[in-house]
Amino acid sequence: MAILHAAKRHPRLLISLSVVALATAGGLFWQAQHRNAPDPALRANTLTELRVMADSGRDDDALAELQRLADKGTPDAQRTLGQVLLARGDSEHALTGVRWLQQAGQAGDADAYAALGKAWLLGSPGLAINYPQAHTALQAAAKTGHTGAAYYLGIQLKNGYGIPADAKAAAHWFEVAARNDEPAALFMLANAYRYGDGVANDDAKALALYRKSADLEYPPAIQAMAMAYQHGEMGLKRDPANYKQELAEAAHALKHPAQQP
Amino acid sequence: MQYKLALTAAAVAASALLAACNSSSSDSSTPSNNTNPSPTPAPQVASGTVAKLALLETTDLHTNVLSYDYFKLAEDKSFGFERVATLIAQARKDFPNTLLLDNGDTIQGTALSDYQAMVSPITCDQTLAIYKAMNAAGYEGGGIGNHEFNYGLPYLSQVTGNRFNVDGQPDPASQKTCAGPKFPQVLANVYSAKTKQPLFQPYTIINKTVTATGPDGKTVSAIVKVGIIGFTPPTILAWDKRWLDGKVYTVGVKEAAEQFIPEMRAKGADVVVVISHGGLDNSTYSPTMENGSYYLSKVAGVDAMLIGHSHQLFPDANSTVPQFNLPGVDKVKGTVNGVPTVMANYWGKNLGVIGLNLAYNNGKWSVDTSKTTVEARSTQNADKSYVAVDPSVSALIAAEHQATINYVKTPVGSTNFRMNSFFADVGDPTAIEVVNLAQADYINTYVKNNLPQYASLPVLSVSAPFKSGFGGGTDYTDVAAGNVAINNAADLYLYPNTIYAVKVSGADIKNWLETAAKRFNQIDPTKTTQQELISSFPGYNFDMFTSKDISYEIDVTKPVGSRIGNLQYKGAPISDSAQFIVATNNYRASGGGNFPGLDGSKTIFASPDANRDVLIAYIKNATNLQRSVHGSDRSWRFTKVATQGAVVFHSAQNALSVAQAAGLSNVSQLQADDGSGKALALYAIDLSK
Repeated sequence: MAILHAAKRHPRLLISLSVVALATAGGLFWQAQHRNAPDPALRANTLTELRVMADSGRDDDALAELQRLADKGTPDAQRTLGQVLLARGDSEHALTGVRWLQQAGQAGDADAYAALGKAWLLGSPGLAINYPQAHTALQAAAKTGHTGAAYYLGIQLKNGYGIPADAKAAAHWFEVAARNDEPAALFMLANAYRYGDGVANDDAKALALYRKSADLEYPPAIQAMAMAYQHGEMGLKRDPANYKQELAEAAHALKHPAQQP
Repeated sequence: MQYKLALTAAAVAASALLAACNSSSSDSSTPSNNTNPSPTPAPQVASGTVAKLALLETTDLHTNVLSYDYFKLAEDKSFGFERVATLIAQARKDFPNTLLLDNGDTIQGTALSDYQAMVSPITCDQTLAIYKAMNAAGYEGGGIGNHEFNYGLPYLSQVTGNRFNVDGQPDPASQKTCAGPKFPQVLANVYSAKTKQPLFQPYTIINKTVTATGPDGKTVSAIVKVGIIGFTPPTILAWDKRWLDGKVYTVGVKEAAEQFIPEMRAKGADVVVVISHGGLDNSTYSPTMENGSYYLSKVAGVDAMLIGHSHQLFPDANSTVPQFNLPGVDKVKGTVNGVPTVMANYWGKNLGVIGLNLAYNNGKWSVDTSKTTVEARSTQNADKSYVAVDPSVSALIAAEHQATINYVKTPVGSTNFRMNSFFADVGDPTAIEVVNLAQADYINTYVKNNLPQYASLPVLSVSAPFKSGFGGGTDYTDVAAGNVAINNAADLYLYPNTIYAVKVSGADIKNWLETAAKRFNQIDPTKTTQQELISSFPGYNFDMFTSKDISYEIDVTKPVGSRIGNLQYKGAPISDSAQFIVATNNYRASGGGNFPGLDGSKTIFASPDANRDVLIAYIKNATNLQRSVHGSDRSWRFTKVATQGAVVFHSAQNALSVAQAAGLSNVSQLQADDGSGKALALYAIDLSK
């Protein structure tokens, strides 16, 4: 019903939604039996599009469809629904969202634990900060190499939020996230090398990491590069032309900054 | 012979570059309109006819119509549409047929764009300056970039001549169609949440009349149907959330392309050109990925891609940019997974040129891919000089240009005191307090209106002397008493930051100030020799409060980390667990300078507004800044200590009167010239006073 309703107004989703519906209705058996088993990437992309429609588009049909898919018990749909509900901001939606995320996380969905850990670490109008729960969730996801979870675990360890501060462990987790070119993690790892925070001071490494983060349009990193050219820091020569260029890039990137994980 | 004549005629026409091209018409199409466009009667084309068509791309122009820097109020030849216009004229001489297309990020980015959008908003019957120039240059199509959304949907609807059917705007039937570009704009992956229909037409098919060569070698006229389809980064939903949330949503660029390109082919498009405002990223595809052009190249039926957004050059054999060194990307030839692709840098520095060789066989045109050429032509010559401007461009927008200059020069207010940072390191707040007042005022208002859960928390603000003499005696903020203009704001606030609010504890504030106090060397009071006060810790990290409400001392005789004393709020000691909101900038709030506890996790409001714009708004509202209100509140002092020897620092020459005007009676001048050759004097501070 919801599929048809949404599809009437958005024809392209009809096809993808039916694939998702088939996949969830038939479950693994269906997938194993059919040569044309639905592509997991297609399914992930369809869930992402439903999330955008339900989130920014406030589309009730998309939300209902996510709810229906989550009810079927697949962790990726449960996680997606949890994220949409959490983003609504109020405590009622947030609590339901947390329950879905927990359910998905328990079924082995690292993205769900990462989203939960971040939500508990940062808090929001609908959800109070809970450092111990954040730590457990972030650890569970970070262990699997999850980029966002590794970054936020690094943040929690760096400043000791609800746990003892551990600069060395923080740098390790920033490094895990930085390996996947996470701009914010590259920036934090650059700071660690520059200020000898949990790792030995190494300006050359710091500079290379700021550069990479800046190339990914992370405004604080572009600004760090601008200041470095302005003042001749981290082994750079003072260079007014490059300073001006980086400053212009920082101004520009602020209109579309690299997103936090 | 006839071919040559045609070329000459084309060249003559092109020399009057800015005469609009009338060689094509376009059939707009939307998904709800599935009927075939009424076909233009096409001239008979014989099999074996060939034609050369060059796609010309500009991207990320950002309203840089002229080679002019509005902040410096001076010419800058390194950018500007008036120079790329000269390259367009040249390309029209080089190719018998050209199709001029823009990639987007067109209407925002300079003081001229702000002037037309916010200061003196253009009326419905007026056309934006950049579109005036583009209309005259004969653009035949354009895409929509992320920056097009920066001023909100009603403005975008107006200036593009659309009537958006979105929440927050009247029903399209009761909207007027305003003046806009005279060329079609396409965008396939942004939808109205209200109608579930694309916000713009997703694609259009241009009936391009081309000069071709028949199988007999004779010059003939023919029509090539060129389909153009546009894409913008789905990340606009985060970047312009305040305008877009609940009103529009995005779909993935790949999904949108897979839906519409077969439609375009079915409607007869001979050639399909993707106008994608995004770079290349080969990480796992997602419908929300920012730079989806790599995956667009893999969608069936794409003949060429005009890309943008990254402010880079492609093709470029020497490029070290990661996105142009991916598998499947040929940075020499200019192909992405075999699809000819160009990215023409930004601000009109370059013109992208894709030369397509078309052949008509079996009743349709196809591209002879073996002969395709891709280049990004530069406005800079080999000898580092720049091509001449096309003078017709500046004539077109002379009034808008002058109005913008007047706006930039217009006083936003005045000050009855000189605001400078010569002695900010030793306590003069004149260059900093107005910034802190503006930031605190802005955040206070925002919290009261939008974050009721924090309304009971005190709002404080920090800023730093960004210009503090590192580059010598002229490297200071210095705004004279009198009128304050827009361009003075850049002196008072150097960096292009946006304003952030963080929620911190009393312990966080103490740690913050301890880090800032690294600005000073540890002074040994028993030393009889002269000691330098200022360390190598940069001035831009010397964050300070300048408010009656908060007070503290810095004891420079103590080691780093234990210098802050007597930290009080409204006369009472600040406990470690007390909660405050502090206004700062995106750099500091996100971990810039590695201040303890500042790591992005405490941000309660990441405003898209620039600290500098917040400052300008504050000065406008205050009208007349007065030292007693806006420039005399010192939150901090040095802990008093008698030293055996002199404690010295360097600052601008002949400036002792500035210190005296700020009430710094403990400062004296030791040497009028410190001998550094940097136009600095040597001053002493008596820490016992």
